Amino acid sequence: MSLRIASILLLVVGLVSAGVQPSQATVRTYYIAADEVVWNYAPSGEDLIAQKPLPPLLPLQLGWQYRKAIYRAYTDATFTHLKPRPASDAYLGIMGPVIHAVVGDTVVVVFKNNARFPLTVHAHGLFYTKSSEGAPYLDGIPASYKPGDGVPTGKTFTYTWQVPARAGPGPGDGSSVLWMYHSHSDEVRDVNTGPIGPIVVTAKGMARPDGTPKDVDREVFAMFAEYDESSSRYFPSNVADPQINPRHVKATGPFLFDDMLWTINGFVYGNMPMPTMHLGQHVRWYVLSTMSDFDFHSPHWHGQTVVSNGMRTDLLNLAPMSMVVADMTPDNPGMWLFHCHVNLHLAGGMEARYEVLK
Amino acid sequence: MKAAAALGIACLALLVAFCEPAAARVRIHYIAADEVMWNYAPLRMNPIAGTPLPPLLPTQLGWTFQKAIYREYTDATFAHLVPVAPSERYHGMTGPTIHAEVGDTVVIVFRNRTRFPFDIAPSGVRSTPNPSAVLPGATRTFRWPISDADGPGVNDGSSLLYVYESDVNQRTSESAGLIGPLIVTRRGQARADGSPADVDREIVALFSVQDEFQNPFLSLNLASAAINPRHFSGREKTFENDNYIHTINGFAWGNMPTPTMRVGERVRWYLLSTMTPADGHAPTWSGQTVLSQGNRSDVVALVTPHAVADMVPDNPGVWLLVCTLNIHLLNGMEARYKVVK
Repeated sequence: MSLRIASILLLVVGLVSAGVQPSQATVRTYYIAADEVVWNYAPSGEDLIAQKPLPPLLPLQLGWQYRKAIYRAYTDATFTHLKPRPASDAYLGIMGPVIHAVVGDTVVVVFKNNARFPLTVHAHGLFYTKSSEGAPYLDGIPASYKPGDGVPTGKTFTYTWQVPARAGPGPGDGSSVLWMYHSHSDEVRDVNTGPIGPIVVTAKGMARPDGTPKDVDREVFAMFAEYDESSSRYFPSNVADPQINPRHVKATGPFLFDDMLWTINGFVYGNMPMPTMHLGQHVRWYVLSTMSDFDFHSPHWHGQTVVSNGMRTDLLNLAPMSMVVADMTPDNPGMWLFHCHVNLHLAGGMEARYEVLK
Repeated sequence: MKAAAALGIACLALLVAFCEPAAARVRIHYIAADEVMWNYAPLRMNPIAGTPLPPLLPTQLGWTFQKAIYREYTDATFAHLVPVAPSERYHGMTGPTIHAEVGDTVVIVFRNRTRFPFDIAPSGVRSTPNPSAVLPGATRTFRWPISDADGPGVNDGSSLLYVYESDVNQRTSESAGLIGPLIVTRRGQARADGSPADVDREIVALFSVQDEFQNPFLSLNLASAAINPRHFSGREKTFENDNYIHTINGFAWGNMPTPTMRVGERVRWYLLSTMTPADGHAPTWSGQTVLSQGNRSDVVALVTPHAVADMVPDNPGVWLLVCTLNIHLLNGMEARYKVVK
């Protein structure tokens, strides 16, 4: 028994030492909370692309707004002041703050859980030890070493992630790659509950001081998500809440089709604020998807083309939890469609616009 | 002087060894389609969550089914199975790995030891004779010449993946369990066994929704009191859905033995998929990243039957390999892999 404990301790020491790397590089600290909000998927109350009313509610659809938990950035560890999001980034919508890092950096996320359920922050792509994985399962490490696997309501936990070369661009990538972070205490329910955000890792020597790639003028993020509200942790309380469910619909989840929303950055039917860009800019689109059963998407840009993975195209293929980069140099001014070409998704409102200015 | 000469000769020998195109090999495999009782969850629990298996769905037969899988034998007598090393047991129901270098010819002596007609047909590679049904009990030899056009393309690494399957009726054959990997290595980049010389460890993972309703053994499974203790007729409304089993290498709910690799090894993951309407997978790793087609990622879109991803593990521990599609993950399409120092 003591041998077993010793070997576990050794393993933990090993894990910790593996995670500690010589750091002459930057430590980037983010203060992120999971906050409860009433999220409105269509704040304008109409279909802004067709300029007509939203489609009638489906029989068991609660409405267009649901209580959710989302990641939001704060100015410091007191978590009293939200970090303001500039108007040009309003289109990010339901997504948490963009985390930027450069190969060689360390990312520290001070996480406060203001939601009523235990939540976590799990990063894709970056190097985390078991204590910063934020995902509970049997991996031979005692749960007591992994408090980040389920941060209780009101509590704070600090996740530390390294950014080795294997978290940065591969030989076929541009100057930066996309990852994501999301809650993983109960993965499928957590992702439908809301907390998710993008991570950008830029190659060493290719970054500005803020971590963005030097050769890119404008970064735009778009998340294609089928939000299954009936799989959200809040669904029972949403059904019971007359503000959310004014028709008193008797709905039970999970996988209730009527409460699945087809969204880009948490917006339907063109309700996403329009990201703008200028002619001739090097625009980098970071496109991601979530993990519901219909999360196979075909994002399509009108008006311009992109280069993704060395190929010229105007359409990407996303599987669940995809993270894809596409570069655009706009040459065609105007307001253009950006939507998913899967018929069911498009009909369900998975459409947005972007604007190219002179 | 003598030493210098010896060194020169040694260098020359090395040069010759590296420059001379390897002689094309004929690689013979004795492969049978065998009937087996397959248990998708032999641990009778979920070792990832540390919980019992979920309760059987209302009309689910169970976790054990009669199936047919490809197995490799030592010779044409088909008397002795080629032993599976403990480190390879995670391959589960996935057929034996067949390696070839471009220029080689793979010879498959195929015996059908099941009660249904099956064959063995490679995707992407020519077969002579053309694959066609091999009757129960019969043996037939197929030759798969591996041409340059079958080898890795400019964007591929040193090897690529095809699948072999029975194409007598692909859907029912896949649901029986008949599928395996064919790995083709670029000319001049293979070891003697055909595996790529620049890879330290190859891992095979078959992501499959096994559709037991389409399994040709269905009526036998229904008739067996051991397999069908609740005596379903198979005509229940929910029967088809309840008997989709969500598997990696034929294991559900983390029951796959854990493949182990070392920090710093060059690991190549070969990801296969069956192609039932319920398939279409997003294999995702925690703990490490991979390179696939030159792109850094931790997920591969497995919407075609095969994909390759390279990993150099740098993070020791036990980590997840799952399909992140919610329906698949919630139904047990999850496994673990282990990285040791």
